[in-house]
Amino acid sequence: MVCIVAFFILCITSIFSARFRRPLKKAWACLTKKVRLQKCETGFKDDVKNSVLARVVMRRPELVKPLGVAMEVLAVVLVIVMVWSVAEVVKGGAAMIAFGTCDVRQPSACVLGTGEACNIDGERLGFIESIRTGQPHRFVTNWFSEFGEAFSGIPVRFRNWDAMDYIPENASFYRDFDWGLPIALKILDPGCGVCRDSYLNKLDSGFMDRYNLAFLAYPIPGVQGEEWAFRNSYLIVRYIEAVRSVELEWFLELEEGEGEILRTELATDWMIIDRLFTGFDEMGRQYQDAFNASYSAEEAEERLQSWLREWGFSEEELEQIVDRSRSGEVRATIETNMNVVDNVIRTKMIPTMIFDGRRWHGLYS
Amino acid sequence: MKFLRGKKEAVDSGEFGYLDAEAVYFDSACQSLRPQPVIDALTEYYKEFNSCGERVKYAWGRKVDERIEDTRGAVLKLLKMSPRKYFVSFTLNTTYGVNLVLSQLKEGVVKKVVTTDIEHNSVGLATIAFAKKHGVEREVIARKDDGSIDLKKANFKDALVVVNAVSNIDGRVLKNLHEVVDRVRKGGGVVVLDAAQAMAHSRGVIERCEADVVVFSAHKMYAPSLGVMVVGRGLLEKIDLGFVGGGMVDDAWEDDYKLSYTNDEHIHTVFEPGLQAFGEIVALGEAIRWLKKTEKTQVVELKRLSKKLFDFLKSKKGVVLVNKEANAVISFYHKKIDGHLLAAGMSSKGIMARSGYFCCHYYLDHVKKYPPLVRFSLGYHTREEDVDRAIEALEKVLN
Repeated sequence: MVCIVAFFILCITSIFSARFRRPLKKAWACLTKKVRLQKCETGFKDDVKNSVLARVVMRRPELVKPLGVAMEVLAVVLVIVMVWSVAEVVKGGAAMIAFGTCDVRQPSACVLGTGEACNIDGERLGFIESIRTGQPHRFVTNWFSEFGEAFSGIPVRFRNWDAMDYIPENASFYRDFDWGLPIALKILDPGCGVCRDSYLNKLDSGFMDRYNLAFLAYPIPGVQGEEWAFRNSYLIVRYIEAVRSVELEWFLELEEGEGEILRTELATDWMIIDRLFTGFDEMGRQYQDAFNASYSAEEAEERLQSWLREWGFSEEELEQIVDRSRSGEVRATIETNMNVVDNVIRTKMIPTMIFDGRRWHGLYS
Repeated sequence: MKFLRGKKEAVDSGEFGYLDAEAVYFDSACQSLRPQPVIDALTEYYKEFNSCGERVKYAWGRKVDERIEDTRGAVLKLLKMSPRKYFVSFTLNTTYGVNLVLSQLKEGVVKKVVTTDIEHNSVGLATIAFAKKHGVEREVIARKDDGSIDLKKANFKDALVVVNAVSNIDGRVLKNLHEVVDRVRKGGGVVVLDAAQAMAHSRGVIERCEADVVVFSAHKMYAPSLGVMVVGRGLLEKIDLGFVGGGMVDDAWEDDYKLSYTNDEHIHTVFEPGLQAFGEIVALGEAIRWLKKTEKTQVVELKRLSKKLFDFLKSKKGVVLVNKEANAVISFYHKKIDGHLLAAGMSSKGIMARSGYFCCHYYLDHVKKYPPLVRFSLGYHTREEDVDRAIEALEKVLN
């Protein structure tokens, strides 16, 4: 173990000084024997230990034995840490390729990530916590699970993505569907600021004029006891899914020859998103900020209902939408959509977009 | 380089004044330090007559020849051996010399090979290889504590006997060397004597000996790196020469050659293939002169310093001495401290002593099962303060 540690240290020191290159060769010879499970007979290990203990033995000979043992133990620990570090780097690299973040479980913890995205963080059982709770096996199995997830995500990342495969059945397109344009899907969380910025950028760039754009509403789950990352996201998504569900029923109930009554310029689900991302309340607060930071659940719901009234929904229709938003059907739809995001699209960052055969993470710019 | 020993002290310390006073060297058994006159002689060769010897007619070459012949003569004179019976060849070192003889001994000349347990690998490995090559028995005799061989138990008939005159482990001397040589020769055998450790400080034991070959390393007797073979003329009948080339032929034809050694004047060439280390040979001559002069006054001091160090080590509880008595080579181990670590520790204090098994793995590791040892080997460069520094450094450690 000592020569393995020495090899890595000498690799670094040799970059800066030629005098370490000769011992580096010895360490390499020793290391190559070790990895082939052969005995290292170069005496390099003793040289390394003696170089440290030589001065000790002349002053405090009684410390030589405990220090020698400590060096062996330290070497084992360092080798474990190094192997673990290398494995972490490999895992992080794979995750970076697959998901655009080096941390599979908690993307926000990765300093190499884009930063311009809302991360879908999961709960992580730390090593100390796993020991404290008497389940170190869970720490190990979780680690390997993340390792497998990172590598299995690589081919997924590079496959040919077709937005049509993931657009919810009841979703609407931003503009009237144009057969001549490609299809794009945006996965967004109504509370995510990057989703808002991304939406505004798309408006500015005319993205919606070049693509048939639909969206999948995904409320990012919270961590550390919070149910959701943004406190009113789930409520908004429930309303979006309720509107989609109810409007689809109304559409299907139309008699032949009756035209669909379009109350607003956009489909209602897009209207909610548009108002949320671009509108301001009477106190001058941007709606998304207000929903995230100011509105209670009741206030948020009242605000959503006021928008629907404003857009021409009758009290009876509104009541139907509210009832639907609280229904198991809507909850099931949201769960299904979230399952698609988590396990089929397998993204770790919101917004995620699918267009032009690829999956894109983070801010659209 | 700090010349802290100073010029006056240089004289007092036997022409080693050029040494850094901070450096304390205790590995003379491997390679002795060179006194200034020897260094000067080597430098003189390089600066004043740096040329080939043998078969040259120009002035420098003739001077080389003269000085080399002087050295050959000085070697024989030093060992009190007759030029009528012996000649001197130069080679690389003791190991090389032993192998030159053993690898060229005629098939069937001996029926067994005998050596002893305290041999250096130069003898141990060479005799193992010889036994395997010739398919003969190899016998390893245990040396007595006093270094002698129990002749009652030994059977030297038709044997190749390869032994050291002095051990590099503890300076043990083959006290009955002359009886051993006599017995071997009477039994029709061949004696090859490893005199590497004897030449500097225990030369008396091999003087006038009748061994077939005496091999030693000049670099252990204050000369530059060089091997020396003192070869009995009678041995040549038993040699089947196979290591041949430049510097050893009188004439050469398409399919044959005439070797120079058949001419008595060039007999030494039998073991001297290729160009020789002329400068080192010249400086060996100077080393012999210096040694003869120095030992007259310094040998008692060397013995006194060796005893002082030996007595110190003997007084330490944790120390196990391999030596039975004090001499210039002292080996020991500590019951609790690794020998290599101790040597490294001393090195951090500027004290250079050898550690390990000193190329005697069979005896020290496998027979005695000792842990790695530490060896102090003193020389004529050693001063009282060197020994004091070693004692001071070890005082606390070995308690």
